[in-house]
Amino acid sequence: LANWRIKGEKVSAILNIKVKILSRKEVAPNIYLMNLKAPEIAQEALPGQFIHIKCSKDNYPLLRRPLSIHRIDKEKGEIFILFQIMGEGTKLLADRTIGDDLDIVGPIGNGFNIYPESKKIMIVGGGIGVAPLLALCEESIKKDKEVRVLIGALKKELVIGEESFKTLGAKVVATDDGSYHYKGLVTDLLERIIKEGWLADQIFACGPKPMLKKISEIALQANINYQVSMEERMACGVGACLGCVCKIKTKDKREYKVKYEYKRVCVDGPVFAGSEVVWDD
Amino acid sequence: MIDRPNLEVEIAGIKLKNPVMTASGTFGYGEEFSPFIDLDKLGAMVLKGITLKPKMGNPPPRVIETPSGMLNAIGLQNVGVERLIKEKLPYLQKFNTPAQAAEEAGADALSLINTLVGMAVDIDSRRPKLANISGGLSGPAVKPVALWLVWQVFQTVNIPVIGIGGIIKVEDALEFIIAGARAIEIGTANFVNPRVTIKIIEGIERYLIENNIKDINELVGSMKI
Repeated sequence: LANWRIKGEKVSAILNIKVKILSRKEVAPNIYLMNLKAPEIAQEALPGQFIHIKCSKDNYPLLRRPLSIHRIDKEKGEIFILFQIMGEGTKLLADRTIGDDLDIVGPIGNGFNIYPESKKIMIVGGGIGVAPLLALCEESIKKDKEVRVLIGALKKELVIGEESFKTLGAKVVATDDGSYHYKGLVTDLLERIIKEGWLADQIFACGPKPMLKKISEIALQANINYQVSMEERMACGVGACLGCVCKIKTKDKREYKVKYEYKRVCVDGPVFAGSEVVWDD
Repeated sequence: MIDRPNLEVEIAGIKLKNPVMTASGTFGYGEEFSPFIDLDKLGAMVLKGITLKPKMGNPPPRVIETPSGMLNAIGLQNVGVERLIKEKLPYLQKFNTPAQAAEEAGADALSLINTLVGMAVDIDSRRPKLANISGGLSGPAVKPVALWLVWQVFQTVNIPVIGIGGIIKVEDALEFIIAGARAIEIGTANFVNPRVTIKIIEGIERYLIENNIKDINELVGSMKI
């Protein structure tokens, strides 16, 4: 079996298995939480990795859908996915019956890198972007980090996962169009918290691109390590088709002009250093 | 009944242990699929097209799903000949499976079909769904077109024909072989089921046994009209 290494750490091979759907719940309008019995995946999975799911039982829609692993329960051998209905694939997935077998490929990708020396962790999620962040929050707390979570959404009903993060012991602030905890953008909130003097050692984020880009600027200015989970249209999910690429700066810093190459979100990511992403799109 | 039918075919002087190959651009450099299948079981691996110098490829989005298929506009992103030889080929040489870059195929055999050019439009933004505007359509949507072309070409040439286009299950592969394909290539289906090539090889063998056919070559172009 082919293994690959990330920063010296051995990442296990990707599996293609059938897993049972244990539960499914609509936690917000069009947003579903699904619990899967997947001991092999739960044992190996790292926060920030994803699974590639065949949503239908036949071949329509044809391609798999990549979804972040939301929670990892190693003890029970279960994983959770949190997803929003975006099209035909996710619609079919939301309609699948409890007890059904789901054909999945995973765990895929590099995952978040929590530095051992970090004391304070800031987690920022925008909309359904909170999906990979709960597992990260759980892992950070397990490693005795002080964790703050900022959740941004368009409206109150779409603020997802607030209770789950709180249960883990993180301090959570949610924001939306103006009717909730904080009025304004989640990025403004982040800036305010930094100004007030709560300086994280690392910022982790997932969500809409403009949000990720803005946080990149904030993190750069405050000199904070920033890791971001990227999203792109994906076909194979195993690094073969080169469909899901994003622009990543190349190492050569001698030249004034920013040079870049296309890296695969599926296996080179989905987590990249915010400072190496070219945010021009 | 026969227990072990012959699956070996010959294409342009290369002996393949079975007629199932991977389609260029859908199988990476082979190693991406090694967690799922034994690469030694494949008839041949066709790698992503390679250029002399590395190529960066097109901006994203590069892929989009369409009814029973997908559009792609990768832009031939590849590591270039030098890195292919240095980094990718040593791994592939461990296997007893021929691997060759698509460009080398030459004219001792014909492979058809490539993707068909298509487009998809986002009606909210009124922009093309692919950054490149157009892309290559692949998947089950193109299968009838590919089959018809394989059949027509098979009747007019004397060199082997390789059938490609929308094969996702053994029945599809058999259709191509009966229509005249000496070998077939699996492309988009690798994205859906990473073990599909092996499933199809096993399915072809089972079909030959069930129909009491000793040699796959007897099936090639055996369509009755």
